[in-house]
Formats: sequence, C-alpha cells, structure tokens
Amino acid sequence: MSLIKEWVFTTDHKRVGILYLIGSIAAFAVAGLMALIIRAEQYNSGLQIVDTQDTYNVFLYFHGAAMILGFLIPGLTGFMANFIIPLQIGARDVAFPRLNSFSVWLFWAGIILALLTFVIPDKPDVMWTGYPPYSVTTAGNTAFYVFTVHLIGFASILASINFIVTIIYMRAPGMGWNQLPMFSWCTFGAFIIQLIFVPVLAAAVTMLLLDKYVGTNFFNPTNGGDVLLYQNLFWFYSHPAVYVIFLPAMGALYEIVSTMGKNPVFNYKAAVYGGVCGIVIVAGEVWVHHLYVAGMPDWLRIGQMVTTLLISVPVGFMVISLWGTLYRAAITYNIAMLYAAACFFLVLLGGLTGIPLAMTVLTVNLSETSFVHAHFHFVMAIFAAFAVFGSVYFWFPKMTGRSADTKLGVLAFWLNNIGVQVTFWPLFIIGLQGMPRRYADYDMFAGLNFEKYHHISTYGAILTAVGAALMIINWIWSAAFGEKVKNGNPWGSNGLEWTHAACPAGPGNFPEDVTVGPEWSAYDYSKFGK
Amino acid sequence: MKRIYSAIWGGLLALSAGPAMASTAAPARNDYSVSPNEGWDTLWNTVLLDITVIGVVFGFAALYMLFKYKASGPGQIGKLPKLSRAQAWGFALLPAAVFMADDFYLSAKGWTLWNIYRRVPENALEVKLVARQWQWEFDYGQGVKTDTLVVPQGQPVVLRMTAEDVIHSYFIPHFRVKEDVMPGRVTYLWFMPKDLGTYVSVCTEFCGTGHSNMPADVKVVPPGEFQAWFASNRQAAAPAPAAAPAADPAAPAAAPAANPS
Ligand code: HEM
Ligand SMILES: [Cu+2]
Ligand SMILES: [Cu+2]
Repeated sequence: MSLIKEWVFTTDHKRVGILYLIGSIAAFAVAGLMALIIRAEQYNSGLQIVDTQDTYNVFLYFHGAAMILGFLIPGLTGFMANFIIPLQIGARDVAFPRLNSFSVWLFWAGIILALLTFVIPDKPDVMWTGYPPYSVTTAGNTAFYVFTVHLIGFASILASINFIVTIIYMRAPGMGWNQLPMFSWCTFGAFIIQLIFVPVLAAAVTMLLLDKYVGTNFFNPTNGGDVLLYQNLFWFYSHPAVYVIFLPAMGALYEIVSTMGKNPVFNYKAAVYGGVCGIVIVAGEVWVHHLYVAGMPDWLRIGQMVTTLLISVPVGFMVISLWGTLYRAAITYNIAMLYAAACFFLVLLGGLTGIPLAMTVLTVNLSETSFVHAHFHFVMAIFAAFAVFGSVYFWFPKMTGRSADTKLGVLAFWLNNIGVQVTFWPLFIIGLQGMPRRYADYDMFAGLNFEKYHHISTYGAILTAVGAALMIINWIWSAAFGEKVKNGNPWGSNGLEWTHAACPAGPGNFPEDVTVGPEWSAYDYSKFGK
Repeated sequence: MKRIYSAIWGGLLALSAGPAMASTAAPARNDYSVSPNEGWDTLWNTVLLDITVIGVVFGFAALYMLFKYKASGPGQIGKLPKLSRAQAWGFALLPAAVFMADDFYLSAKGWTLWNIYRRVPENALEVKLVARQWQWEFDYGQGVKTDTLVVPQGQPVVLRMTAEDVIHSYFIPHFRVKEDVMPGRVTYLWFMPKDLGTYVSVCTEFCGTGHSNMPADVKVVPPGEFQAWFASNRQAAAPAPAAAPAADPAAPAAAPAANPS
C-alpha cells in the first residue's frame, strides 16, 4: 500500500519518468495490436478480419493517435526527458517537481480517455488528424479525440515550461551551455517548439469541439467558415511535432554512439547551433507541405517547397556530426548500440524519402499513398521508436540497478529490425503505383497485384510484433530479476549521471552536490580504462 | 545586420528563382508536348537518382565505420582528431553548401514542372466534378452527368472540382494527378490523355465509411467515339426537344470546352 502511495504521490523526476515509460509502453502495445489487425486486414482486399469498415476506421484512428500522442511524444519528452535531463545536468530534480507529477497524471488521464475508445458507443473514427468537416459531421464521438488532445497537450505544455526552466537554471555550477550534453540540448529545442506550437493545436481542436457540439461555424463554409483553417492550424503544430520527436531521438543517439564509441561528439557546436537551433527556427515555416494538394495558393505551395527542402541544412549539420562521431571510434556493441547503429540507416531512409515528398509537384502523385505511409513510419515509427528502445536499454541500469538480458535483447532487436524493413519496403513500391493510405479495400487495383506486397508487409509486421513483445518481456523480467550491476558506470561514460550517481540512482540523485570545471565534458574519455 | 539579411534573402531568391524563371517562360499556353505525367516520371527519376546517391554515400560510410572501428580490446578509446577552428567551420559550411545547392537544384526543377501542372491549356475540355459520400459525379454541362469520366484522346482535360459534404481528394494514379475536393471551394487539376484505355481513379482523403469504395473509371476513347457518346448522353439527359440547346452537333466536345483558368 505504501509503495503505491509512494509512486502515486511521487515528485521524484526518475519515478515520474518511469511512470511516463509505463504509460507510453502500454499505449504502444495496444496501438501495436491495432496495427497488427489493420495489417492483417490489408493482407487481402476487402474485409476479412474486422466486421465493418467503421470498425477498421476506429482501429486506424486509435493506432495513429495513440502511437503519436500516447507513445512517441510521452516516451521521448516524458520518459526520457524526465529520467535523463536532471541526472545529466547534475540537478537534484526538475524546477517544479509537483507540476511534474501533475503532468504525468494528466498524461495518464489522456491515455485512459483514449482507451475508452473501445467501450463507448459511437467510437471516434476521425483518424489522428481529425479533419473537419468529416470530424464534425461524423456520428463518431469526436469529443473523445478533442479531450485526449487537450489532456496530453496540457501535460506537454507544463512539461515544456518545467524543463526549459530546469535546463536554464539548474545546471550544475560551472556547466556552461557549450558543455551541456547533447540529449539535453536537443530536448531543450524540442521543448521550446512544444511551448510555441502545442497551444495552436489545442485551439484548433477546441474549435472542432465548438463546431460539433455548440454549433459554431469555424470550419463550415456554408455559414462563412473555412474548411482549410483547421488543416493549417493542425499542421502548424504537427509538423513541428515531428521535430519534438526527431530532436530527442537524435540527442539520445549522440549519447549512445559517443559513449559506446568512446569518441567525443563530432563538431558539437555545429550540431547545436546549426542543427538544434536551426531546426527550432525553420520548424514553423514548412507546414504547408502537408497541404500541397489541398488547394492552397500556388505561390505558397512553391514557397514552402523551398523552405521544406532547406530543412536538409540543419538536419545535415546533425547528420554530419553523428556520422563524424563514428570516425576512428572504438565501438563496443551492446543492445543500445545495436539500436543506435540501425538508426543510422533508418534516418537516411526516412530523411531521403522525405525529399520527393518536399517537392510540391511530386506529391501530386505521392501524397496520401502508402509511399507517404512508409516514409513517416521510417522516420517516426522506426527511427524514433528505435531511439526510445535503445535508450531504455542504455539507461536500464540507472533505472533499475540491473542489466537487461542480452541474448533476448539481441534476438528481439533483429526481429524488430528485419521485421520493419519487410513491413515497410513493399509499401514504398505499391505507393508509387497508386495504393492509397487508409484503405481496407483495394479491389479497383486488381490488375496491379498489390495483394502480393500486402502479404509480405503483413508477415513483416508479425515479425516486428514478436520482436516488440519479446523486448517488453525482457524489460519487465530484467527489472525484477536481471543481474545486478556492480558499479555505477557500466558503459564507461563521463556523463554526470554515470560518474556521480549510483545504479539505480537514489533519491536526490547525487550523494554530494555536483560541480564541474571549465575543462569538463561529458564526452571526455581520457580517464576511461585507467 | 540589415545588410546581411538582405544579402541572404537576395541570394536565396536569386538562387532558386533564377533557373526556375528561365524555364517558366518556356511552355506556351497550348504547348503540351510534355504532358504532366511524363514530366512527373522524368523528375521522379532525377530525384530518385539524387537521393540514391546521397543514401549510398552516407549508408556505406556508416556501414564501413560501424564495422571498421570496433574496439579491439578493453579500455580502448576513440581517436577522433580534435578539429581546428577552420576545420570546424569547414565541416559545417561545406556540407551546408552542398545540401543547399541540391535543394535549389531540386526546387528549380520542381517549380518548372509545377508551372506545367498548374497552367491549363487553352483548348482543354472542361468537366465539373462534384464529390459526395461516396461517389463522384462528372458534369459535362448540357445536362450530361455521369459516374465515369469519359474523355477524348489527345485533348487536355481540366476538372473543376467541389464537394457537397466533406473533404475528398481526386486521384488518377495513371496521370499522376491529385487535388483535394472540398465544400465551399473550387479546385482544379488537368491532365493529358495521350493513350486509349481505361484507368482507375480513387478518393485519397479520408471521408468515412465508403472512403475506399468510391473508385471511378477514366475512359480515354477516340475523339469520334467521344462525340457520339456525348451526343447520346445529351439526348438521354434532355429528351424533350424544346429543352435541348441548339448546339452544333458536329462539335459537341467544343461545347463544354470553354476554359476560364
Ligand atoms: C512497426 C509497427 C507498426 C506497424 C506494422 C504499423 C502499421 C500501420 C498501418 C497498417 C497503418 C495504416 C495504413 C493505412 O492504410 O493508412 C498505420 C498508420 C499509422 N501509423 Fe503505424 N504501424 C506501426 C507503428 C507505428 C508507430 C510506432 C507509430 C508512431 C508514430 C505509427 C504511426 C502511425 C500513424 C500516425 C498512422 C496514420 C494513421 C492515420 O491514417 O490517421 N505507427 N500504421
Ligand atoms: Cu511536416
Ligand atoms: Cu475519401
């Protein structure tokens, strides 16, 4: 009983982080199950598994909404930010610990609201994007979508304020901005983006709520509203949200690759001031690339093609820096490093297939096809998710004081890694031939033999599902029974969370107050092995 | 400071606009020697080559380093050389310049084709498209409304599109065209039916239960056959002679061809 009370009322950032982790993995599991059902349904054209098209749409809605709002964003900016940042910057907790525990319970309320999808009548079916007029005219309960976004969005805004203040004011005495570890820098950028853009999303879905239930006409053209207003507001948030996912994922990779390769981060300042800051600056100027075929003015579509392509510049700074970190490294492979290694190829695949999708005129054929579907899964579903998985393994000893099982971890990694490639490559191919997204039935393309590709894709999804299940089992089992780690720094890092805190890190994080000197760097390995 | 800004913006504009402007002048209003879908395929191949080269270079670099730089024993540390100031700037600016050059190259190519996609030829056959849950209705004027898009071979076709209920999106994969169709607005797309045949068109904006069940055939027929088809449909639509407009029966295709774009 007291244990439950301790966790429910905890204000310890590490426990809050773990609560985020549990919630987001739960969302991942249920949304993953939905993905498996959707994939099984697409195995053949027409409906074989679920009873009606509407059920299929509800599952698709839940999969998308839960994966993004319930798994990735909370996994990266909830779990990882909470667990890692204070430890990494030498702080004893976040700036506002009670606000922090309020955020995590808001998030949990959002997850529970989302799960209610499966039991309420008139289940929401508006897809994770919730475009009106459909979301207003549908019989489905759009309010559940809106309130889920409100709860999780509010949790995000509070977390942003909390962590921005924490990083600015609570760094260990002596830690300058140029010594701030990469994960903290990247996530700092992500929180700034969140603070600016989440309120826009909250406003957009609130207008949806008013249109549907109060009878306003924000999005109703017959009464002077505008159908496209919502899409503009939605993507004004949701494109930057891609960076809220991308930045912390990159940040974690820097930590893993540098530590396991015993190499400093290559060209740190270019990655930080060109990469992270550059992305924060361009994040808000490219949203129209999600509306390329939505009838926006031609000049706007062309202008944002140029800005969208230019994202390659800040992203390029980070990519060069990540690649450079491998140069003449001394890599020791563990499960975390395997995930990190896979991420090199995933970020290439996802990023490069984004280039045709940045080109207005090419999206006239590609948008809303399974090409897009494969592209964003490579970026988000695989690259970012792999960064989360790698991070769980990397910081596992710090969380639990135990190490995860290597054999099971490696097996699960290969199942995951092969599974996702098998799942998503076929979708690029049929996407190019016209296979639309969000389709259960594709009889009209009978001549093109898409079923073959859907078969392969479904087999891949099964492999991935087995891999993901083994991975989660490994975490739960190892957290309880895994081998205890003997020293606080199993990977030989020079980060404060490893050199100054125990495994698992206790209350207050550090036995003594931490200060760092002007020469200190988290990526200085000169003392390693000595 | 101000000067730096204007220099940057001027540079960006010049770089991207220059090549595009040069080529925007090229296609005349009625020159469709390059039909949009062929231009699409050419551009796609260029872009595919571009990203494949980048992918292969970076992919192999990563693969090589991940294998080559494994620690050979415990206690070993990486030997990344420390960058001098000049090297640090070089490793930042050089890749940035290369990426930017590629971005502007692709922008210019994309802009050129985009102009072809958006500039409707003067002699295009105009058809109105109305979308509703869950069907398409093609309106040729003069009372001719169908659920299949029948078009004459060799004449460009422009669709002026709107929806009655929610947002749909009209997509003909074969012609590489797609544009959203929504209530309260009229959008358009055009394509050039060069080859005879029947192609499929579908909805690609989620619109509810029947979203994946609203395909329509696009039939490209010889001009003569189109005229006969049009004439017979027009008669069916307006059997009473008084209601039928006295259009020139010899050129029915011309009747709906006015094109305001
Ligand atoms: C590897 C496991 C996964 C599989 C097999 C999978 C499969 C699918 C499938 C089949 C669809 C529907 C495609 C369609 O017809 O439109 C879909 C949509 C989607 N997935 Fe996944 N997915 C996976 C993981 C993820 C993850 C981790 C994310 C996290 C961001 C994600 C985000 C989405 C989104 C946003 C959609 C679009 C939903 C919508 O159309 O509104 N997926 N996925
Ligand atoms: Cu975007
Ligand atoms: Cu539709």
